[in-house]
Amino acid sequence: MAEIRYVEALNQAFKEEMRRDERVVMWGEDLISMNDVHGQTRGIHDEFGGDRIKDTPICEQAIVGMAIGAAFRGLRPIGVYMNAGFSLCAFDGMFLKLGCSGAATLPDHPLPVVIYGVVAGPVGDGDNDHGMSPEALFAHAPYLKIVMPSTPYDVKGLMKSAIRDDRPVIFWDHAGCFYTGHKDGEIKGGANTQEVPEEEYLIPLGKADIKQEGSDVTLVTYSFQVHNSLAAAYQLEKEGIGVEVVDLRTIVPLDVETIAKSVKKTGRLLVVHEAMKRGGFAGEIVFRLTEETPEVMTSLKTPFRRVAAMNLPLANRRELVPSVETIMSAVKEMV
Amino acid sequence: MVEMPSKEILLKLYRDLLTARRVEAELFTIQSKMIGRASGHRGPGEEVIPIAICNNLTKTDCFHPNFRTTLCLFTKPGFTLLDTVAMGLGRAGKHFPWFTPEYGTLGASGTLGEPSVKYLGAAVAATIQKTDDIVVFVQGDGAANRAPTHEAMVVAAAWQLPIIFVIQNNRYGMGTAAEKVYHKTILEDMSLRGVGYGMPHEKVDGNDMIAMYQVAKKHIDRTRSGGGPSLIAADTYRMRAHYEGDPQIYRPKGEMEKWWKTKDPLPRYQKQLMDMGILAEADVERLGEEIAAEIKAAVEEAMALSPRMTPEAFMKTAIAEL
Repeated sequence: MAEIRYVEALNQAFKEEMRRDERVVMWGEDLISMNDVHGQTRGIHDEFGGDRIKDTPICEQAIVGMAIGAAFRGLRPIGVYMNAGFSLCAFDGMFLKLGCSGAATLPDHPLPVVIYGVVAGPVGDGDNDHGMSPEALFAHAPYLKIVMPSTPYDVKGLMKSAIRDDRPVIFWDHAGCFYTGHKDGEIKGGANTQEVPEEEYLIPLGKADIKQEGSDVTLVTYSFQVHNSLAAAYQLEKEGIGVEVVDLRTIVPLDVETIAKSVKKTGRLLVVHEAMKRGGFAGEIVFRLTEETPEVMTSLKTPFRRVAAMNLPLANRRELVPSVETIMSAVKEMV
Repeated sequence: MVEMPSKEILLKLYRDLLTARRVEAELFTIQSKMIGRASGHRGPGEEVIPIAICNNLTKTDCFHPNFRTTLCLFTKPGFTLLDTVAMGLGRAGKHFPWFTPEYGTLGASGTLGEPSVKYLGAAVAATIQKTDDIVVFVQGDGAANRAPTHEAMVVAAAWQLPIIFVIQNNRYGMGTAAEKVYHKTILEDMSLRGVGYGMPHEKVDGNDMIAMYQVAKKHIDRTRSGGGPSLIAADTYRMRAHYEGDPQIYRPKGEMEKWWKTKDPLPRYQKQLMDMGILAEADVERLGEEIAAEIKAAVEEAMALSPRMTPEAFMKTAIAEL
């Protein structure tokens, strides 16, 4: 098995699915001319040609709208937003049409659309347009599955499942995962590489993955914050604190069972996400656990907590999003 | 110049127009009784546009009607009068005219104009799948100002997609008259917007059945043979309130009554056919009786069908695992 980068694993997923099923097509801004900025679409135009991958004008409403229309007419489109925040230009299409269908369609009709985009994360002055994590906005819609992976192995298996799903899937990557990862308790450049099997594999949507076992605190997270959390867990282990890192991989469907099992074991729950705190997905996680496993949530050793970005227009400045340090402090205050 | 349609086509168009007018009135009467008050957005007087277009389409072509004239969908090949009546009464017909992708309808939207990008996707699909299908997307002068319409026209022109945009200009966007929100040059000919996108464009009297049919045919033939997108402005008039019960404080007194008296496309087309000698008073009476019987039968049959969507059925569509 070869050790490959996150972006290469994703690129393999696109290509394998496009070879497997000629109905899989993709379009978005600069997929061909800039390889979708980070190289996600490298080589796809050369191999599959202009019918299968298209550079759109800067027309965000058209990207999702066309995906819906083409899916209804028999294709399996992947609509791509260079930055996840750009999809908010098309909130009607994303939320009301893709996410709600409604009375004027048949809501159970197949709608095999993947919307793919990148959360730039804490870069530059931290503007929300490029950097924000918009997942909570979409989690409110009845029909949207939401995938936010963290590792090369996961991104490949999850993207392949997303493309084969007959219902809409929102798939947000985090640029941090493209270039950095955790290693020996720190975030380092080039560290997010992994051995990925050459034979085909799929990862079902809705199954969390315990990235590290621990007995003192259950840390529930997803996307790039998995790396910050694993780095924090590594350092905390040296101080004698065992952190169990649960990587949700998909926030909808939510794997309540895996979280509840872990929280039952540790008696402590910390949720970490990079999205802004108010109305963030942490609240939903806690409520779902409380509704479905009240016995677990009423026997916690310490109150549950969350680490998230502040509700600020520049929420993605590096010093304002969750970091290895802020995660460590939160854990220490709980044990 | 497109040739004059055959006598058979002219009579079929008349029958469709008369049916559309009658079925619309009948269904709104029944609906009002069912919910205890008049409700909804009606569109008598605007039927010529969708009927003329649909009579030039195939079963697999895509068509999006303006929301006021969805009850004209029985003229889109693939759908029947019963399908349309069932839709109007919330019943499950064989096909649901608002949404049957294989017959080219992809769902309506309460945010008007938004389906333009969805139907654009159907045009993209036709080019990728190499079919002969084309798309005709009709919307009002109000929806034509919305952002998705702009994006749809940008992409359609850039990629030379098989889609025809039609502005069904009924002179009102909800309560706002078109002259308040359109520059006077464009108000005069809304198809001029096509120039900015690099699309062929044409204005037509959308209340003139023969002219509308000829223009629709010309553009549809052109687009189907690979000519790319175009824009048609079909002028008509909104002969009802925006919604039933709307006091219409925005509309000059007498304006609507004058249109009903002088510009209603139904008597206008009827007179045209009579002047041409292909329709007689006796035919009008006979057709009227036939159509009334067809509608009555369709309503009875539709009422016996099960509801199209129940809360239970909707529940089943939610993501099971949440």
